[in-house]
Amino acid sequence: MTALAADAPARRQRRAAQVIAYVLSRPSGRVGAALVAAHLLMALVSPLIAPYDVAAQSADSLQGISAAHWLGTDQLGRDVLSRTLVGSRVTLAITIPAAIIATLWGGALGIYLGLGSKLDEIVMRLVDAFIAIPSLLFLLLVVAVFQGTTAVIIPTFAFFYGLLVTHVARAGTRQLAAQDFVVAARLRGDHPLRIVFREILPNLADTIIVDGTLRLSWMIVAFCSLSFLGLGVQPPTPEWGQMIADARGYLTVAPLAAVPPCLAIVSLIVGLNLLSDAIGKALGIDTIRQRGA
Amino acid sequence: MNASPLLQVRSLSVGLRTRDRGDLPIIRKIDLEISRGESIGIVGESGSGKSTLAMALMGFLKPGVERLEGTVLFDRHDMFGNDAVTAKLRGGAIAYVPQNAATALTPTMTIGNQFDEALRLHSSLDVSERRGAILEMLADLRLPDPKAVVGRYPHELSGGQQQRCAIGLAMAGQPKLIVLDEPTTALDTATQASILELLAGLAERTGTALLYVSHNLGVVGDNCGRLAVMYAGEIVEEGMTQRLLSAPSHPYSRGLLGSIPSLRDPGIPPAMWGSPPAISEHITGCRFSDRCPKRRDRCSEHPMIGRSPIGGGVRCHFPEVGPAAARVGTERRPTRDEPVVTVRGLSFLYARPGLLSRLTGAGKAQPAIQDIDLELNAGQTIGVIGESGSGKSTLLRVLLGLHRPSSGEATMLGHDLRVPLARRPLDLKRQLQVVFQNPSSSLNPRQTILEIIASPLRLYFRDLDQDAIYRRVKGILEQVRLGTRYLDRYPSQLSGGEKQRVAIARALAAEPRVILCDEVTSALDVSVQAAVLQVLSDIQKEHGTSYVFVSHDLATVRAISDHIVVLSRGRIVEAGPANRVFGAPEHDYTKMLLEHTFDPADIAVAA
Repeated sequence: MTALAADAPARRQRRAAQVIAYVLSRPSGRVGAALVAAHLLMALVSPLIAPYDVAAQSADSLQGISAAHWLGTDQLGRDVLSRTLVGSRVTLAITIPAAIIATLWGGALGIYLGLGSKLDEIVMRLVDAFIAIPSLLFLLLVVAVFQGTTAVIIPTFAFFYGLLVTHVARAGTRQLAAQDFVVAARLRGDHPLRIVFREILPNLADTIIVDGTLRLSWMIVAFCSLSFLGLGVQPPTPEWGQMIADARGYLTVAPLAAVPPCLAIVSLIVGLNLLSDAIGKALGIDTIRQRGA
Repeated sequence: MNASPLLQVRSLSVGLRTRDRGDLPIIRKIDLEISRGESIGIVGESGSGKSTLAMALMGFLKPGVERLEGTVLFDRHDMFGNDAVTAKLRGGAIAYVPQNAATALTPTMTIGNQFDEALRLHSSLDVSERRGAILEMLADLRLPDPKAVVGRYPHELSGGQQQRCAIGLAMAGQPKLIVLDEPTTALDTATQASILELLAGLAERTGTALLYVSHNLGVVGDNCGRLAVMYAGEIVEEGMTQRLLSAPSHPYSRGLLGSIPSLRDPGIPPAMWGSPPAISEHITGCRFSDRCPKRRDRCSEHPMIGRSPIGGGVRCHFPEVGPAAARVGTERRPTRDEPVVTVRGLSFLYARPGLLSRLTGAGKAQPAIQDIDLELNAGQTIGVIGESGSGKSTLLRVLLGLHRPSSGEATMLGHDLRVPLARRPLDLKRQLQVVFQNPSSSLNPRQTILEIIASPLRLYFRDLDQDAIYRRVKGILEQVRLGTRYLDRYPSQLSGGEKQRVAIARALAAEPRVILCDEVTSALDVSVQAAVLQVLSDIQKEHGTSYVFVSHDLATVRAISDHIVVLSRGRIVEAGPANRVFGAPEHDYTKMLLEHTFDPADIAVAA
């Protein structure tokens, strides 16, 4: 005899497998997945495979491409290849947790408001007010005042990007709450939390996941910008934005030094966007099939 | 007059070309001819391919859809030949009126300007001549005060007036053929009738041929000389309307016609069980055979269209002769005098929304209801009829506790129904269940049928263990005539009628005394409506459940109700036993509603 709830995990797995298969079936999805996977892998193993110590300075500063330094050296004689490989670790260590926290709190607040709360109007106007502030300026201010430590940057990022998630989650929830199956659950007398977890979330998760991927790519750009301005990561920790800032001073002498970190940022962001697009399409196919059948 | 037909369709197949599954035709080898000035109807249920055919006649295919074979000749032009010629014909010699007129009108242009544009493109009149012509046309469309309408924007007109304008714009190019896709489905019964009459009049005067595409036999039955019935992408029968409707030869046509409830002939019409095949299904034999009650061995061979006994064409090896069998109306049991719900003087007046909701536009007006009296007995069905905006749905929402009544009383089994939902005891929620109009939105797409029906069981009967729940769900599915194989399916894998039966099963699982049915058959095809009614009636017989059955479809209400309440503008204008209200209506509004209801019995009598 089948237990009712027991199939659920298996079904989710099947669905996940379908989505992955779809993403990998189209070129843009394949490219996106490959770029993101390569970056994640590199972030994990780069300290082991980097040819030089990222902080090790040498007398050979601002060298071009050579057999010893494949991508040359920077103004302090540090190996650009090693620093580029390791450079995403700080960024990802901050933006991934921040994206997760943003999705969680923004999603929770959005669902709560979307179900029709008295606070809805007030809270959403506040959210809009915060969104209206140019976030990079605000981040700069916070970081300048409180120092650019992880303990400051993660909550700040999570707060700002969570506001956007709130909007998406609230809009989605409002749409779902008007659907008859949610009305039916309310009329039946289901507990509100049960309605959220059984009726709303399974239908909203897709949107939030796709949205979360996009938020992550925004956060990466924002963090690199902070570092570029000298507020994100403190030297000698390698970080792409900071590397670009350093190389900027010597563009006339060593024009190639800025290229590797720039390419790294671009490839990661493009990869994330392609991936999130493909996941969105994969899930969209799902909804079209449901409607058409 | 030219002797050649106006439109000639030869062996036309249109569908999807897939890499892995070959060609998947949506319409298959359609042969059709339309003469000049003729009116012809194409009837079919959702998924029959009728809209695809209508589009293809104009040389138009949806993205991804291709012409697989065949030709469409309009006035000897190949509609799939020269794109420039086809584009010129469209909007000129062939005009199209969509289901929703609002989408055919440009929202940012006044009605006058839209007519002017159409005339500029399709006539050689100068500015002042056009102005006169426009006023004349608007008068022809029987729009009140044409001079005022000229300066209005589409959103300032009612749905019926918009549809009139869309028809007028279609006529502006002096077309030889107008294709009408469900032209009146979105409109009220009375408006429907007047628009169809208008169309017929205009077409006759100008000699325009009309092609109606509809799921509604009433619309085509009253307005078309000739009829083609489509099923699963094929024309299964065609012939003269009166003859076809009074003595259909194809089992599907017979079933379809038989499943329409009649006002004269109360009781639930025989249901057609099952559902049409999906386009991806490969069927070598007759495409209707798995639903056909008269299936024989030879039906595994695909039938060609042959001459039908009534002089039309029919795609069946064993066409039937004579009028469709008389329906076996299910007699309604007398109900006990045991009130379950009592409503006295119940009113819900439009509440002025607060400042915030006005600012945000969140406060949506609900039609008010006033002084409603109802008494629902055990095992009884009260039918509530009225047009849109009459307050039918508001009444249900008040009973459900979603709106707080402004005055009056409502009780159910000792519970006060004025109590808002949040404060209602669980037992009251269990006893009063609801089934909604739209089966697609009433089932969670991420839950299996098993989970959906188990939800109320878990909530209301906490002592049931997993096994007991599973057994009960199976039992309930059988009551709504869905087998165990549906347990693990998702709503997306079910047809509309099946979904609606699952929604009924979910309500039934609560073992309620009363089920409120809000237009439960309106979103369904005719052939499956009867199945839903049958299920509701069976449940009532077995459990003594009472229904409040709200619908704008009078014949459906007639089929299932003991007692009728007619609502107009929020007030009860007439109430009484079903036989009395339908047999001898007293109020003018009821008479008007009855007059505009299509009844297959009328056609049979006329023929």
